[in-house]
Amino acid sequence: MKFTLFIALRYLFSKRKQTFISVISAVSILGITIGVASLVIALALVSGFQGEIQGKVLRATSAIMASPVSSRGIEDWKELCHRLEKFSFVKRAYPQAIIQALASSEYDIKPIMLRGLDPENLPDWIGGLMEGGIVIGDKLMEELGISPGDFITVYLPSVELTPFGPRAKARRVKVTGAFSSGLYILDNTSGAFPIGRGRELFSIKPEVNYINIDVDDIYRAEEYSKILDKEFPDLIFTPWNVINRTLFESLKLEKRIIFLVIALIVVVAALNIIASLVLLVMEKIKDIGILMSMGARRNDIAKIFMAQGTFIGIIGVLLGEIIGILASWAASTFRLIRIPADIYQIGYVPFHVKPLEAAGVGIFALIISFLSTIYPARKASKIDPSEAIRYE
Amino acid sequence: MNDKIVLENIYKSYYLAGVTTEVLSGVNLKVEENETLAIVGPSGVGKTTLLHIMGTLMKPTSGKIYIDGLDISTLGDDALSSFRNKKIGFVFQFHHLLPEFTALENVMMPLLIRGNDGAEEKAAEMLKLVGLGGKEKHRPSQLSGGERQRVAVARAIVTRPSILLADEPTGNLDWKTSEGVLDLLFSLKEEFSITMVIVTHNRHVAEKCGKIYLLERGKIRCYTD
Ligand SMILES: Nc1ncnc2c1ncn2[C@@H]1O[C@H](COP(=O)(O)OP(=O)(O)O)[C@@H](O)[C@H]1O
Ligand SMILES: [Mg+2]
Repeated sequence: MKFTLFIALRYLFSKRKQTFISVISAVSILGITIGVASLVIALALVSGFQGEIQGKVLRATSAIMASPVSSRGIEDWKELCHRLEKFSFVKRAYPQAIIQALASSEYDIKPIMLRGLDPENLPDWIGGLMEGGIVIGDKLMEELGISPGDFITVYLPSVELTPFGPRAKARRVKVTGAFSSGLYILDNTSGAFPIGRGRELFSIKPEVNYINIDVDDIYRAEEYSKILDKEFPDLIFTPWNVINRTLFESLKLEKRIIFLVIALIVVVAALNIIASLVLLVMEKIKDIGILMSMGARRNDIAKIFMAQGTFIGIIGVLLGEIIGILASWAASTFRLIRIPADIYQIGYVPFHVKPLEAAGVGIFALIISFLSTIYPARKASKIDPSEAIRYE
Repeated sequence: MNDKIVLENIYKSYYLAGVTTEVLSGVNLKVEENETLAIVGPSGVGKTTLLHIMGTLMKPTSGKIYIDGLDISTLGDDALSSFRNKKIGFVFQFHHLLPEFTALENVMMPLLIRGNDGAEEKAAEMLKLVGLGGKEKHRPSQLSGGERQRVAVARAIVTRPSILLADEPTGNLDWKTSEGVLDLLFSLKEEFSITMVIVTHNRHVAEKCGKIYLLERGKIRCYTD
């Protein structure tokens, strides 16, 4: 072992005559630990939200949605789906109907987005669809105060002539069941019916007004949409991340801000490293003089204190990473932090530690620790051996 | 006889708070190979300053220093460090051992700085030679004053330097302990053929040396001739 490392380790781990220095060394380790742990946890939180919300968004919609340029619906959807599925990146193309309406029970009236879905190709969170009825989100069912088997009135966004004059088109339909997707906005404001039954249930003309497209790689949805846009001038293709762009962008921005704010903890901890090293250098002036008289070079002296500060950084980073990763894991696994689902779409705070981000935090803290050794190390290397030895 | 150390017209001034104090004003000194030379003089006269200049720890304001015929002002900082490591051993008035390290580790340190293998064996052997076999694991705080100074002596000569510079090596010891440490210094000097310069207050110590020089008012003169 090189003697500089030998000395640095001994300085770090032996009991100090001046307890003040060991206290502030401990404080600097603690500072780095807290900073790193906070950064890991905070980034895991944002990543958790991103992942969770992204997952739910993808469960609720498909990677790309195609809508007609005109508002008349898609009559030739069978042929279009067939053509779409010829693209190598398209896994599946299937029709969907979306009707914006109002659902009314005895107790309340609520907006509802009714989706006509293929009973053979249902999202896994919809148990099943019954002929001659609709299913609605469990939260919506609660708010309407009804139970499976009850009837509701659906007001459609068109007007029909009745013997009493023009009226909003209204249909009584049976609610056969409820679903729970986990995405609050779906469970609170949507319902589903078997596609192809739109005419029978709601007297609407084109049965299909959207085509859902699943692709091989959801992260290339935007790129695929552009390709499809060129091929199908009558359709508009919207990738999933564009539908929720503001949400995802704000999560990204939040991550940057959180990083900047919490990184300050690490910077403050680095100031502690500087202070503890400067004090250590002062305590060790005599040692430094002696080492120089024995032939230690100025660079060697600098290295002793750089190694020392870097050790403080390494210990702090390791502890911080362990604490941050464990805390994130525990909080996510045991759902320790509960939040209102109607605001956040999720009932608990999810944490997802991304290895690259955690590593980045560690490297950042190590670099800061290393940089904070430079000033004290330079100071140590500039000591005049002759004067240092006179010290008593 | 070869000249081991030659000081030519050494001047040294300190600047402190705008005041210049000339401590050495034209010191000329030749130390021959293998001789033992004592420098005496009242406190504050500049003995430590002179010794540090000889040991390349400090640069004179003007004047030349030759060690083994080499003008040391031609050496850069790093070269000077390794020069010190190879050629010179220091013993100071205060033991100046590193408090966090054991006796053995303290003696190993100059060898570790040099990057030698077998530092531990050589250091252990040297500790035995100074009569401290069995105390390898003691920290300086767990040793007596005399023992600490013996460790310091062991540390100074473990690299087999050809020059030993001792600055009041027994200045902090009682008379009896001093005797032991001095006997050790002199016997090691013989055993390893070392050129030795001792700064001392103590007339009795000086008389054991081949030559005695007196430093007074910035000049040095031989006392024994
Ligand atoms: N770094 C310094 N700055 C200013 N004056 C110093 C310094 N070092 C020593 N001196 C002064 O130089 C003089 C000689 O000191 P020193 O060489 O230690 O003498 P000695 O060893 O003979 O007692 C003293 O007056 C001391 O105060
Ligand atoms: Mg002195």
